[in-house]
Amino acid sequence: MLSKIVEPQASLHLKKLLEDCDAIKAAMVVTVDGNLCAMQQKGTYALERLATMGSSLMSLGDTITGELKMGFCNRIISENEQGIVAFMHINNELVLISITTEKNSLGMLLSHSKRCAENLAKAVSDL
Amino acid sequence: MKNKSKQAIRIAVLGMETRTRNLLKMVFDGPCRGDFLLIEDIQSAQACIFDLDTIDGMKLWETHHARYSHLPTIILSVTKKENTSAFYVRKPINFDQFVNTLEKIKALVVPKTRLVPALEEQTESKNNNSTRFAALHNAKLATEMAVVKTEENASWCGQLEDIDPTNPEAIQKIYYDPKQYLQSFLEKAWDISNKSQDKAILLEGLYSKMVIFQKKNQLFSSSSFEDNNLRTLALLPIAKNKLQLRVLTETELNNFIEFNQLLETPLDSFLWQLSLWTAQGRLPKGTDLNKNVILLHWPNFTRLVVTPYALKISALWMKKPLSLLDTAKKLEIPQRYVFAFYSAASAIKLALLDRRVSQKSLPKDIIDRRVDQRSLNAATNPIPKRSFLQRLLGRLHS
Amino acid sequence: MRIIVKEIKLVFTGSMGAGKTTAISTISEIPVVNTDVRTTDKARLRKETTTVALDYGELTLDGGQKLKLYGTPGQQRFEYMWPIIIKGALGLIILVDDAADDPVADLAIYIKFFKSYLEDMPTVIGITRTDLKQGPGMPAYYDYLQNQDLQLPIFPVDPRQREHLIMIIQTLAAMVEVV
Repeated sequence: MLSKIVEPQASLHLKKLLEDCDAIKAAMVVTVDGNLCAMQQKGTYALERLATMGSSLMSLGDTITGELKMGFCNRIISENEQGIVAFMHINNELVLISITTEKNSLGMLLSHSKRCAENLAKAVSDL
Repeated sequence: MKNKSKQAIRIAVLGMETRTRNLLKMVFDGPCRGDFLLIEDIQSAQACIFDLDTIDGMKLWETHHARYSHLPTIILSVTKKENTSAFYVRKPINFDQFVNTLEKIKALVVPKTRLVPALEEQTESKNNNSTRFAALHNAKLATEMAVVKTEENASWCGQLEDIDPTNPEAIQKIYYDPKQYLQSFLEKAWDISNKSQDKAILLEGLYSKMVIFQKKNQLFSSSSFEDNNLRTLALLPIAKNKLQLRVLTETELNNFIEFNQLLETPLDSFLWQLSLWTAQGRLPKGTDLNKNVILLHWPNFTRLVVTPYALKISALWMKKPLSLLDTAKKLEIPQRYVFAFYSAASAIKLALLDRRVSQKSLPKDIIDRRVDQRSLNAATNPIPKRSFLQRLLGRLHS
Repeated sequence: MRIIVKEIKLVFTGSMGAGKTTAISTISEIPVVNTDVRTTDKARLRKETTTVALDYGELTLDGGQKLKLYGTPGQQRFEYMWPIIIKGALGLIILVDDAADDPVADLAIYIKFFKSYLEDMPTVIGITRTDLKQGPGMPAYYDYLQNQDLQLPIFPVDPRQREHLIMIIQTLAAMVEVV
């Protein structure tokens, strides 16, 4: 199972992501078909169902960009009253979901998450 | 082969050299009498013909198949390619085979465009009920189309006019005696095979070897029954004294099948069809017109012949048992369609008359409650290895 | 206020690998919008890809009316999508893979989940892959429905066969009609 194989690497990178960026309160790595690989958080958010929802959303994103012939969907950002959620592809099989409760931290959220996704992509490509 | 609607089926041709294209056009305009129209634009096509033997033919086919898998397609090629859902015509093209394949395409395309006849635009007030009503209206038309399609099969239901149930002479016309036909013999074999669980029944004395195994819904015979054969067989009075039933164990059955190279058919479909042809829109002798019909479950319509209004009749009977005459009246349909459906459904033990009570002798709610008990009975008294049908039969006959 | 009702929404739901995406592809006249992704868990043994959000297809009827065909994800962890997709539907089609480990239990999952809809919404059950003869046979499904006091149409269907799917739609129509 892919989720089991990438779990150690994913946990390591998520931990670093949360350490490097104060604004990021939680992050998780999920497979494109909605299985949770790893999760880190600075609180007690109920995130279990986010794995499947994140995969649905990312797939819808891919479907929409495909329909519009805009290429691959890099990320989906959900800006909300009490925070921001970013969904982005790590590779063809994995998705990174990161969450901040600070409405003004979109830039931080995206830049750190993007770097984390790139590093994780390299790390899991050798597995 | 003439398309009665005068609307030619639009066929796009792909990857084809001019000579073959011209040849196709000649066939379409000539022997096919304008039933098909060769067009260039695949977007407006209803079907397509694909030449696989051109340069990049396979690659083009893959792209085409991914994008237009919904279009019925004929592949022309020297060698057959597996794993495609398309129709295949081998080159050099055999005219008859090609025209037959076009007929298949037509059969696929014509129902598609006629699923529902032209509808007038409907306007409804904006609430849930109105949406539902609109759907109901549209749905009605969809069902009617099923009827139009199945009307072509009116041979299933005969030509009997509606009768006046108060006229004793007229009533006699709607009955037939299954005992004179193969139907009853098969029903008897069905019953015995059903009761003996693991036993098959060999029917001896027919011109063809025939075995039925009710447990697995199988009928084995030494000849494949084409429609014409079966129809003749259905209507031929049988010489009862020459027919015999013999019980076979499952092992004997397997040996018998292997030795005689028998072909398998689903038993219910066979008996359903045979009964329709025997009944011709009539009822088995003795069927009470005023007793409620209980339909045990929806007929297996993807495997059985769908007679006119069969879906509506099933929907109605599953909702509420009703007498045969009241069913025709309520649905405003010819009685013969109800009779035909009942005859076939009762032959495969799917429909039964509620023999316990007369419709007029007890209040409606009591009848309903008793009929409802069939599910209660099934839920509270589960008997291992006995189907619901058997349980209900046991209850009705007790 | 008056509105023009020109669209009818039907939803295909049911277990993973039962053929929901195939069924919609078979009758849709537009290329099906789907959200299939690679399967990464043990379900991969049964299926290379799986739907994670929805499938969508269309069938235009004469007169311009549209049947909008939605498919739900089959895997239970995506059940949060089911009520989202069924909203506004006028008919439900539950497909069950007869060759699965326990297809009657699979059917029970969907019957239980959609129970509150079944009373008002015409529903048809299609049992797929019966040709493999690995399942419990139709009587097991009839018994289950009877025990649940449900009288829903249930047919063996091949999701690749257009006639079977048209039959299902016509059955939904007949059920609406005799209400």
